[in-house]
Amino acid sequence: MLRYCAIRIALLIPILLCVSFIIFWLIDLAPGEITDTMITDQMTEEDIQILRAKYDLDKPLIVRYGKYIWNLLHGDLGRSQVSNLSVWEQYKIRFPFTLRLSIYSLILGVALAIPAGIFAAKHAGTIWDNITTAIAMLGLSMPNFWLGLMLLIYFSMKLKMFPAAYDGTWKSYVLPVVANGFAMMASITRQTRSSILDVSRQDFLRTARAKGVPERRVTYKHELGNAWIPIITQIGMMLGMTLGGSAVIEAVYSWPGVGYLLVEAISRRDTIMACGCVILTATMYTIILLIVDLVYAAIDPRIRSAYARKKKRRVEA
Amino acid sequence: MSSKVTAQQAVSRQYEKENRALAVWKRLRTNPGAVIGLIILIIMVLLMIYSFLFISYEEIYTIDSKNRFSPPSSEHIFGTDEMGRDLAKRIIYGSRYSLAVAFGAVAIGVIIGTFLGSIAGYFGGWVDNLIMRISDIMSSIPGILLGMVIVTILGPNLLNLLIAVGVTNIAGFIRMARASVLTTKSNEYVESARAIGMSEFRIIFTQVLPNSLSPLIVTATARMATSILAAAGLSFLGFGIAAPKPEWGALISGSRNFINYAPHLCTYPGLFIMLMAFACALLGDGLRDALDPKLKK
Repeated sequence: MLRYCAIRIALLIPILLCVSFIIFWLIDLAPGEITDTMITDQMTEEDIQILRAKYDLDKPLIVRYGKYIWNLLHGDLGRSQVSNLSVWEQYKIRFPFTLRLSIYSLILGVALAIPAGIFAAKHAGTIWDNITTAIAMLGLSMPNFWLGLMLLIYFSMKLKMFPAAYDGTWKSYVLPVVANGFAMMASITRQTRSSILDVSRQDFLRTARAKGVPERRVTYKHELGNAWIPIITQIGMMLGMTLGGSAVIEAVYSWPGVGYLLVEAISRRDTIMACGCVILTATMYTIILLIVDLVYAAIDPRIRSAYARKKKRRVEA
Repeated sequence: MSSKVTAQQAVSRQYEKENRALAVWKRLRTNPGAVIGLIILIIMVLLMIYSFLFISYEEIYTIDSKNRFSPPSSEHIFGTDEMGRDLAKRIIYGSRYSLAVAFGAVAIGVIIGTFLGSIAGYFGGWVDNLIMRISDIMSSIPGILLGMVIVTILGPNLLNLLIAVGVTNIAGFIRMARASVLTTKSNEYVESARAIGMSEFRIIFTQVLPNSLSPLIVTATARMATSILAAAGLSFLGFGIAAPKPEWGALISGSRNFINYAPHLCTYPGLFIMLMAFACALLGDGLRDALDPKLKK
């Protein structure tokens, strides 16, 4: 198991190298440079050259990238080219906000979605199923930034129940969590419904009912127990997606998270900051997917035994 | 003699093909969700055609300072914006952007993704490895970020937004096409095609891919919904179609400063984005059930 984790994390390295190079290269291709806003009319051609040299812009792309990777290998993600703050420090300050937002939205989403999905599956084909599925479908089709703004208009401006931006209190979490969690809820509901329906025709359920297991227990233990895997995959994907892609919700609520940091870095051509954020986010994403794989093994004895068998075979050989 | 047989075969094959499309359509027609989705999409297309024919450039961009921020009324059903322009007309005019993204961005994903994916699945070996690693890299960058960077490089306009969203669609189609080619390529008819000396690419595109068409159609329709949302999100963040043009995400972004006293400016464009994505998602679900009746029951 440990070996498997190590391989998965090692496989991340070439991917991160490529990703960071692509980001470096793409930002280099983009029109405009980091120095554009610093150049004033009084500057001579020489001053501009000195300024560009300060950011290594006089050197070819590959040299700049090599320098970046060399520093990265020494555990240094570099400093923002705009604010001169350490990328790691900035990320460390911002990340907990994004993480909290994602985790709370996920908890909200899962807490509502699993019962809703089971409900829809139990009433498959009836009006209740159609209503639940339609709501889930609406949640998937709703742009989350629009939902965020709607919540802002009604609950923050008209009813004055919740603040419009982050102010440190629990109240400021409510609106962004709902806006973010709704789409998650929608997709997890759909997944739960379809995987419950998939297992609902299995023989072991009939056996369980025949031997007199109460219906509630059949549903939660036997049925849900066997339907978990695709649901967990969906949950993991949703978590990874919000960690990297909640930039839009963060922009709506002026949320001090990493998504917003990244948007700013890209629009200011702050290559080092953007690259650092992408590398860290991609790493988080991979680690989450790895955890999801490990959770499979924890909840599904079949997968667990597959790991064990592999080990045994290796020992025998 | 032999030509007669092949002619007969051709007729019967064509008949079967028609029959199959007809059967899918018949199943689709009985699914209320799919019908609703289809109707909404048709209305959107009609609105777009209407905007091309009857809404002039001036109506969309001319400033009318007397009429600023008027709420919805019988004259302006969705009200007017900060420059006195009629919101309903602007939204209808903006339908072309959403429809272009829905079809264009998905087309980019389908064409490039299916091509790469089917090559990977069919040839295997190092080709497969190379293409799959590229797809891994693409899917480990968050889509919205890749989109932002691409729009920054190419500049904010419709074509570049299309490319930006389209590129984020590629990885998914690579994986899907590869998976379905892997399952079809070991069939006997593929082997017989190889035995009669068909070229590899001809086998892929005439024998293997047509049999992987159903999942492709379903994914493409579902992807239309996510593409519309992604494009609107990018425009909202300022990395899409720029503000004076009435793209729906840009309309919402522009209304943010006025949500205090003109919430209608934010509400209606969002409703249209939602309707459009909703229609595509419904149609995608309906197509999945219609193309693969086994899945349903």
